[in-house]
Amino acid sequence: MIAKPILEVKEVIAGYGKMSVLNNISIRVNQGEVVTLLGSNGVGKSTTLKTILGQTDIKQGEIIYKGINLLALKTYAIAALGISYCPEGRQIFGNLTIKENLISGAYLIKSKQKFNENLEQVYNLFPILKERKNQLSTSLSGGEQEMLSIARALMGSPDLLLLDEPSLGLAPKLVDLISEIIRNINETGVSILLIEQNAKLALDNANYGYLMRKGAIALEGTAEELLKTDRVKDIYLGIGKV
Amino acid sequence: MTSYKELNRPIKYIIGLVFLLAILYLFDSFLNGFWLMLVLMFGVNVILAISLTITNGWIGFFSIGHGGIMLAGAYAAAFFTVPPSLKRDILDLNLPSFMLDVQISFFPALLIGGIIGTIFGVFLVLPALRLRGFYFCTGTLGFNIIMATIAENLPNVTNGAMGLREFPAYSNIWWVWGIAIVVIYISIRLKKSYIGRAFIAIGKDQDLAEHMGINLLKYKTIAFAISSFFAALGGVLWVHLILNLFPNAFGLILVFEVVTMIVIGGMGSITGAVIGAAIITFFAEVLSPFEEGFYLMGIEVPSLLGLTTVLSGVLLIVVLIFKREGIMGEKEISLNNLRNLLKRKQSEGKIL
Amino acid sequence: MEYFIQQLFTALGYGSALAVLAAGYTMTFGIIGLVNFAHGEVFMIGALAAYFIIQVAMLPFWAGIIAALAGSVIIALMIERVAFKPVRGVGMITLFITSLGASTVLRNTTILLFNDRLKKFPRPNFLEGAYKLGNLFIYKRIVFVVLITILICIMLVFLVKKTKIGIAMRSISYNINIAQTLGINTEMVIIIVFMISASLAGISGLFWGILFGSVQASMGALPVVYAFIASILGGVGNVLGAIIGGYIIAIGSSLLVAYLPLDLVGFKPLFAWVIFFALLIIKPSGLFRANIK
Repeated sequence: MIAKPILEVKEVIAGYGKMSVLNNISIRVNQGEVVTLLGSNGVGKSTTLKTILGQTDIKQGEIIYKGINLLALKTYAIAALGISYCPEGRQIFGNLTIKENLISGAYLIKSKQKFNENLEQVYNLFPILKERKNQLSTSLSGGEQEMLSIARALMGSPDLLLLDEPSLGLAPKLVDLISEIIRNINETGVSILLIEQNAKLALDNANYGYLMRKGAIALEGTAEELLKTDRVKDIYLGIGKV
Repeated sequence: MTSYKELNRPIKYIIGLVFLLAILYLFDSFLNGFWLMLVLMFGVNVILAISLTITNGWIGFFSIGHGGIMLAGAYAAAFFTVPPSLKRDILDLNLPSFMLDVQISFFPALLIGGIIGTIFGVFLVLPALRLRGFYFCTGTLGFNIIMATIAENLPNVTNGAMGLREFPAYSNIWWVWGIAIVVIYISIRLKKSYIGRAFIAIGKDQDLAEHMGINLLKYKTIAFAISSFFAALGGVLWVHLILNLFPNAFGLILVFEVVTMIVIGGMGSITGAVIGAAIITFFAEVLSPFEEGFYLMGIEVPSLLGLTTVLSGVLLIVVLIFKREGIMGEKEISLNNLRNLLKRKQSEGKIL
Repeated sequence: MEYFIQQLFTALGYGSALAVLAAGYTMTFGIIGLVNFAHGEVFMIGALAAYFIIQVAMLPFWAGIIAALAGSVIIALMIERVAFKPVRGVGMITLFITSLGASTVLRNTTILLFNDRLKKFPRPNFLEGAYKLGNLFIYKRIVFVVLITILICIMLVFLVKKTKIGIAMRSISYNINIAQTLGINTEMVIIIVFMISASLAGISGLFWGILFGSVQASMGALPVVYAFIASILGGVGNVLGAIIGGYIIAIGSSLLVAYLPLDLVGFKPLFAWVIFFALLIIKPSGLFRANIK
């Protein structure tokens, strides 16, 4: 079976204003896969996600999603194509209740039935959100906020989920939970592009991975291949050279 | 033969000063009517623009309340320069004769106006200083209204809405531009001094400045004090130029015009303040006959009141959209800058 | 006692105009952080549009209502396009300055074109007169204005809290970038907020004309400042708070005037400013929750 790409980033140079952060990035996510972006701080991982979402200035290259070129589209139009985003640092809406946060995630869902289905799904996945649904989202702990952030992204029935550092600042037990959740989500058919500094979490769950360094891809391969190379360790820590 | 560049500092300043004084003398002797008024207004506006540059541009606390400060200073000085007959007849103060009869010369009146203005300025601004950014800005909005309301409702002291007249026409070119030149000089020196650099540090990043050991409250207060003093001087000069004073004299329209001047010229720059003042003053004076309406070859041109303000507003929006830092940004004109600019133009010419 | 209640009624009328104006103000304030001084001119143009349609063109009252809404919305959209959109994201102070510029341009252009004299605003017949309760006069126009304000209040709170677009507005006010990634067309929502805000200003202008019987080109200068203070009083972005804030300012300053000795009456505008300063010093976030709308 030939794997079909759901997302292809082709030779993209992008950044903010005159400053370029991404220098010729090429990434591919196949349908149903979990692909991970690894690398230390500041190499441009988050910028890659933001670039896919159309929130940076793209100077060169193409981004093809389900056969559509994303370059011409505004962020909300890109979201409407089935891409959801779970940003770094949770970034839930602190002025809304938990349920309202989820409603905002389902903004594009037109049918009441589908909305209720998604809500049920998300409440099953994260029971605590159901419990506290009418409380302000700021009353949640860090781990719970991460769950809300993921839940909000799922409310839109995405085909592609962009996850930015879900395990950041979480206790090990919660990190295991996140791992399990990523697996569950992927099993329902959602493709995932995962950014992680926790290489173990990432490579346990990923089919394929890219190692970034200074705005470019230094190394890529299947999860098994990457786990075997010493260079993954070295480059990841910024010690060795590409 | 030593070149100008190599002469030592004091001599350069003396030559410059003599040059300026010569120009002032020429102006004084030969200008009158429209052009004289233009130059005098320009001078006062320079003082006002510089005063606003210190607070809005350097320490970054955007004030639109300097009108209230000018009002305080102007009324204070007015008490001393207005003829005693006016004070006796129109005002109703229970003061002993010797105080009512006092009518002093301009210099002490200026000082008194400046000091009172500074006191009001500092007093009004202190509670607002702990606010940030735009909350502060809107707090200052109240200064004008508060001072104007007070002035309007104490007719015994200020003659209320009818205002004061019969001011001696003290503001001539020597006073106005003499003070303007001094203000420019002080500000330029200030900008390079430790205090000035502390101001600018506060403007760039207040928290960082605090961590570097700059006492925020002290420096913000000093900045407002200096700014208020200059603004009050401007107010006193203004009043002795147009020869009347009433509670709404320094309202939002005037403040807005001065804001426009510094935005156009560049908020952090003294040179910018001067340039901005020049542009707006010129506009205002050239357009004033249109504001009042006049006859041109038998055809009546109707009174277009507020035309200057409208055009200033448009100019302001245009500048903010297209060149947000204004003409000079934060830089000053200096011989070095000009020389470098010339050198660059020369080398560009050679490559072409 | 009767004097007090009569004063209270008048203040309720004035307060309704301020409340509705403040509600519109706080919406743009809360969502895009825009301190919009041109809001006063939108208010004025709504009132003037109604004046021209009813008094000059001699059309019925309901046409005046439409004129007020249309005039204010059109002018607000123009202001947004010319003075706000190009400088969005630059910083609140710059937006504030451009709004000041826009306000000045609009006000003075209107003065140039239509002069600043008071124009008599025609009050429709069904709003003339009063009900009498003992010795008290309950003016019909005040009842009308208060009822409409209550209606508007209910509608706005419902819009903001219960509708999808209300949630969109609130999420934009918290984090506009993330809101976009959820598929929210932020550009369109912001335009809608502007339109609602402008309509409220237009209605407030209409109220003003009805209550005070006259309108003029410079009528927007002071009310917008009170609307601003009311917004801060109620918590930035909080519509219900702004409405309550408007009533507090109106009732507070009216009562103050009613009980002050005569020669201090001119100090009435200071009431609002004293409240403002006290607020800024003690509780800048407002009496109610900010940012939550």
